[in-house]
Amino acid sequence: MSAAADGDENVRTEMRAFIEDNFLYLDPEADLADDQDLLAAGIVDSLGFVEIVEEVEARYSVGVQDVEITEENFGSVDAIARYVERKRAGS
Amino acid sequence: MSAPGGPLHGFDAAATIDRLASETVEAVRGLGRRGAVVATSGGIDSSAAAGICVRALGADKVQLLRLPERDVGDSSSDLALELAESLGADSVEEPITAALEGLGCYAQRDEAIRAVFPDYEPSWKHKLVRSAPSASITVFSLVVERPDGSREQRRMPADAYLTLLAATNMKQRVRKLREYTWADRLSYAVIGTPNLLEYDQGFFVKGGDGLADIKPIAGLYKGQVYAVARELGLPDTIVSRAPTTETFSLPQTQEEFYFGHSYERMDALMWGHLHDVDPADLVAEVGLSVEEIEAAYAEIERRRTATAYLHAPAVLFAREA
Repeated sequence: MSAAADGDENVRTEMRAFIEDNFLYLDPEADLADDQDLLAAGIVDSLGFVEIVEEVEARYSVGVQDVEITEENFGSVDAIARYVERKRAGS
Repeated sequence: MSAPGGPLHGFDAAATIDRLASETVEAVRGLGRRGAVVATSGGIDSSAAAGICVRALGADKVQLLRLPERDVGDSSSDLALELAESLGADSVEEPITAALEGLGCYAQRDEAIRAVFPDYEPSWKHKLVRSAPSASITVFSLVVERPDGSREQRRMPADAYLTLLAATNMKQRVRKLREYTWADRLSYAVIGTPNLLEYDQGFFVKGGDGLADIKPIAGLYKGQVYAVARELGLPDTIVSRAPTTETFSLPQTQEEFYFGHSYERMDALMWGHLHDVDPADLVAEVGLSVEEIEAAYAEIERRRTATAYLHAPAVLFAREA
């Protein structure tokens, strides 16, 4: 496994835990898939996405522009991991 | 118009007023009350509701209230006084600024704003605005206007957003406290003034403007409320006034704070959604693409889900055997 993939997996693990702790704590049996659509599934609402953005900014030291707060970048655990990876790569 | 109808298609304002007045009489009687208390902001919704109550119950059985506070200024209270004079109903002004100060409303609001603009001073004007309509994530930003007139907009962190909303929601809740105080004193019912868009989409404060005994215009689209107000002969200064939220110190429309569309367009979108109108048949009416209308329909659904809690009554557990 490459270093980039390791980092990617760490982000997945950390953000999955963040989402489970903050949005699914009353539903501990829920099995959150990494490709689960967080908005469509009703797990995270718009304000919740702002909380996720703040967590990403604080945890990974990346600046998130308003126009980047989209489902493409934050709509699932996978999307968040890909987004963080792109930001770290400077793109 | 390409859509097969619309909120104002065939709308008979006079007949609607007769129906709403009759139902208001039945509702007040059914609740065992003797009249109605209406808090009037000078806006179209509370004015139309007040006009319906006066038509239903008579001016001497309607107590109007004007409940201004610091951020909104005196102009809305002046309009509401003009309304009262035109309706011939008694109107009492009870400013709520001192109560809000005592409750910490302004201090908590300022704390929330300083989380976004650390150099904010209470003399600066401000408002909350949302991102452009989409079927996806909505982001709220704070706009401040400095004394030199320059404006700046920054995204609201979640904590600051919730703190700001909790603080400003006190305004609606203190107003409701005043309304029920008068209702107790007079044995009147409290009239709520949400229109169909606000009620359906949860644009109200639970325990604040969402709390009432009767909501006579909750089935009327905003355009229908205007038609009813004109039919009632309400003052032109009120009927021709652009709607605002009456919450923040900078003028703020419901479009930029909540709906993302003008009320005319939101009426048409809501009507289309409620009547299962194909988005393609609504394009010419609302001036949006099929994709944008689909997004608006999705947002209507999403807001309903997100605000279900505001409509929910208290959860009652089963009685012990």
